[in-house]
Amino acid sequence: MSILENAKQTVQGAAQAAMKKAIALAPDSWLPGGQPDPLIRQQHGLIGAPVSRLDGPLKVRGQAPFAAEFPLDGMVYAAIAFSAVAKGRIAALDLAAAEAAPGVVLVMTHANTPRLQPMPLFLTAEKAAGGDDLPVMQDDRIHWNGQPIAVVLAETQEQADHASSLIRATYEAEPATIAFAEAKAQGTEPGQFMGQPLKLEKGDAEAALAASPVSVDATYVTPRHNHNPIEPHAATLAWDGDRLLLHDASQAVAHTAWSLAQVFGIEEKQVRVTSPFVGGGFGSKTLWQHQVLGAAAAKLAGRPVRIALSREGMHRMIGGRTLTEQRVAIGAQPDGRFEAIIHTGTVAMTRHNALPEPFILPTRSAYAAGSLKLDVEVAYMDMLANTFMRAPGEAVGTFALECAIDELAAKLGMDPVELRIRNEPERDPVEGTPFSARHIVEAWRAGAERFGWSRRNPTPGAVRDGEWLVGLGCATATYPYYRMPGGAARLTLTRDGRVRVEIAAHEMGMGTATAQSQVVAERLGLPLEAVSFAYGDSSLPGVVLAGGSQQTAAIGAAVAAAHRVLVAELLQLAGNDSPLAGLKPEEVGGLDGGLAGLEEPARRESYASILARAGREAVVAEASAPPPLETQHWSMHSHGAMFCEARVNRITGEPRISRFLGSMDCGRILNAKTAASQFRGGIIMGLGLALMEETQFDERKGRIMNPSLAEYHVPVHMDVPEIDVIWTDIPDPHAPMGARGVGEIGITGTGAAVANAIFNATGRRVRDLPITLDKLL
Amino acid sequence: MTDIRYLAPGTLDEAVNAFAAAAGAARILAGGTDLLVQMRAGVVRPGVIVDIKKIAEMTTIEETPEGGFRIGAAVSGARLAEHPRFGKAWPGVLEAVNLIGSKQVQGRASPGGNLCNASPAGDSVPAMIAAGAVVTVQGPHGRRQMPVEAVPAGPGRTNLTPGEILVSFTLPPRPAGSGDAYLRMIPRTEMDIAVVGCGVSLTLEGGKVTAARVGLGAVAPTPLLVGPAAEALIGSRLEEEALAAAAAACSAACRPIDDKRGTIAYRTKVAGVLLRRTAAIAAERAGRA
Repeated sequence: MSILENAKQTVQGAAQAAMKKAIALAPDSWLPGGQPDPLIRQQHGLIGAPVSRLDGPLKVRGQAPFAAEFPLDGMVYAAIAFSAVAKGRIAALDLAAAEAAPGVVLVMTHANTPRLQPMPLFLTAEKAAGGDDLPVMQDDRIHWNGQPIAVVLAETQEQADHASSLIRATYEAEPATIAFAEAKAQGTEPGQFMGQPLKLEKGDAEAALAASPVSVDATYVTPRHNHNPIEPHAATLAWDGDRLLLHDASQAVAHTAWSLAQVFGIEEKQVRVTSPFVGGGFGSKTLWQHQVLGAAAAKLAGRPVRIALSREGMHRMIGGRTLTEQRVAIGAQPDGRFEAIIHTGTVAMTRHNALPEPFILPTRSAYAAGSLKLDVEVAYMDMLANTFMRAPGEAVGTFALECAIDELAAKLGMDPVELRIRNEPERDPVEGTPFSARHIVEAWRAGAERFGWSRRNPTPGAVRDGEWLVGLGCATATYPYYRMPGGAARLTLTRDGRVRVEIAAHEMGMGTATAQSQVVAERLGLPLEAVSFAYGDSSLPGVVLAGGSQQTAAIGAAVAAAHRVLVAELLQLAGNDSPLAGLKPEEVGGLDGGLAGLEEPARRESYASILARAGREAVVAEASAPPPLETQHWSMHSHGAMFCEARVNRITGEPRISRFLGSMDCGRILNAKTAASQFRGGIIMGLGLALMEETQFDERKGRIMNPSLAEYHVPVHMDVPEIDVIWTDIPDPHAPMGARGVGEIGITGTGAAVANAIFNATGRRVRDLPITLDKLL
Repeated sequence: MTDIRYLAPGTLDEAVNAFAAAAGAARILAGGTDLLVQMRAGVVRPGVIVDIKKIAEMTTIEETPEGGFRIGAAVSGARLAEHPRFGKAWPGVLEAVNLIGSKQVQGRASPGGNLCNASPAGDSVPAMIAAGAVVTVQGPHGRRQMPVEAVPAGPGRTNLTPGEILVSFTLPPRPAGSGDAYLRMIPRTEMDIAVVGCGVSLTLEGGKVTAARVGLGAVAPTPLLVGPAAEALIGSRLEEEALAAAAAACSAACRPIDDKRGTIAYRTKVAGVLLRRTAAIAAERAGRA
């Protein structure tokens, strides 16, 4: 704790010295030799304040419109029929009953769907957003069990659903690869992630493992997961001539607009995608076939369409996390130093998507090791395209890696926290670059003290409370800092002293608009009430993905760039009659509703005064963020030390989590309340990953068998204990606002912390998720 | 959805006539908490829905002259919980009925619907079996009675003949020194389906078990009356030997399947565990202490 306190006091001291001073402009790049964002010195303002979500009242009053709630004149409702075979062709579709059913406007099948290009596959182009690149209802081919084969439009949703149920399809089925073992037997290929092979060797890890005095070597298995955000996927859309307006549930509005333009062969500007409120995305709210089908059917019918997926529909056509089979082997010296880490394995994927679950990512930079061998192999199956799901790679990769470390600690007789700290790297183990800010050791120490880790009994099965066995476990959480290219923002400062921020970013319930409003208010020296934040509309500036935990940095960098332009413009307008006369942009900053000299705060003029004297109602500034070169110079990662207390009933095997602590190191925290919710949400999803989430896939038919929340289990309130969250709050000097993302890291490490706690409680090592009660009997 | 006829008769005779006339195309609607979900999922497509909640006999709780209870098949779990005396006489049956679904579902869901839905895991059924409930059934050929455990025929199937409607449950009078209990095991902490459910009813005299009945759910195609488990308890003072024998009898009665929620081995073992736990609660309630 003392290290943390020291760090905090140092920062506070600097902050107090800087109080009552204007805040200088943010740097225009984050490169070696540069200055950190001056905002990181602000300790008593809005940055970090636990501001409640600004859209909270709207949501409570039901006034926040979600994608399936926009009314459009003359709108019809869509229902989708799904394939019941995994591969083959549609031999016949009997549509007579459906077409004759009440209220039916049209039935669309491959026979009458307008000619369309496939969706640009996510990751294959800057603005590609498609979950697959298959033909969308263009021919009779079937590629997975659950593929849309027909769309019904009707005057009401009930009529559409009913008519859809009357469609009779017959298939010519073909042999499909729907069993994982069979897919592996057909041969695997190395996985590629963002153009890079998921394969890496440093030294001879197998030889080092064999020569290591102490080692572990085991296989860990994680199942398929389906996305289940609270808001099912939906779109309400209309054509106006050859212009498409689409109200979507999206975490990628600009990407979706561009991709839909490619599908329909029109200009990007002819498609406008809005998404003001989203009920969770987690990687799933990109472009899938339903938006394309809805837009195609709307074109065919000449009427606006609402296409809202049922929970079952989501399981049929929105991809999730694929299964993994991972080998982790670690060779160590008796003092715990790692000589070798081997993390290899196989994942299932399709030929029509681009995400081999990159489970080796956390292993690349987590620990110092003499040698490394990393490899993700892909086995191809005929199934729904898998996709990104909260911390793709890290969520399940940390399960295997961090369980293996726990197993090694037990073998070495070492404390698992100390074993991790012993292997703390000085530089990035693979890239050799310095870490931008790595304070995982502080997080471990602070977390261990708060959780009472020293009271852990290292002997498994030794602590009992009645018929309950009690254990403590821990694991490292890790997620990289990303900032993707394409960020841009527009600031409009008006004479009433208010500023409007416009950026095509997203609010999926994380608190983005709130936290970023705090940042803008602080930068400009305005009260929070004077900031409005417009987002969720592809017609706004910027290409900002709400993914990869990068949105905070992407918005921050774009707004900082626009702010530089704004200040320059304001100084020009202020002219020679202002107290600011003669000052350069680098010499002023925002203070009390205006600009002031950094060295002489008394040289100040309010924004209102500058605009009034210039006879201007508003000043508009727009700029693009600098390219994200910081990640080439530094190894940038967030970390967390996860602590879990598990109780396992020794008679019935029930596993229950009784305490959890996340001790996070994610740079500067911008809003203590919304960040804590992000961490907790991630941890809860991690508890689900550890204990219950599993898509049941019928390897005889290729069909998902549990497409409902009754059968696909996520934690209910009673499954979730009080989750404690603390953070180092040490700013990252090489990131905008000193902040790294917080959206995904909570799910990482959590599965392993649970499994390790259950091992400590019972002596039973479960290496295949989820850890259900029958595995503990 | 377009072709469904909805009927809400005010008398049982009308309901039976309408149900029989539909000749298999009709479904009875009590709370609808299973039926509507199944309709939305496309599992059932009834042509006629006969709502029985307007029929007084189906929605009332009566105390019989002998001291027992007669519960209309469509009485909701919430109504049963509000009854001033039912929960005192049959706390195990009440807790089983109240485990069906969430608070909102409790306002609709009924023990009659739970029984006729014929899920092997229906929570109220093992407790009703343990209670020795007898159901009254009315059909085109009149009324008859049968023990509750005779109603389920298999997953989703009952032994009611075409046109027959479940009217009520009759629970026998409670001798002094009686208690019942129901426990279930679910993987999640709430909002889940039992992997094993166990109902036990006991009557004790001077610490000795004079009467016992044991019902088990989710371990076979239908909920089971486990006679050998009851026999092991009767005459005992719930000593370890008797409990072990009863637990073994429960495990022996299991004919479960593996599914997402639990394996055959798990269900078989936990059936015995739940027998011990449930019997202990029932004995406590019977006043052993």
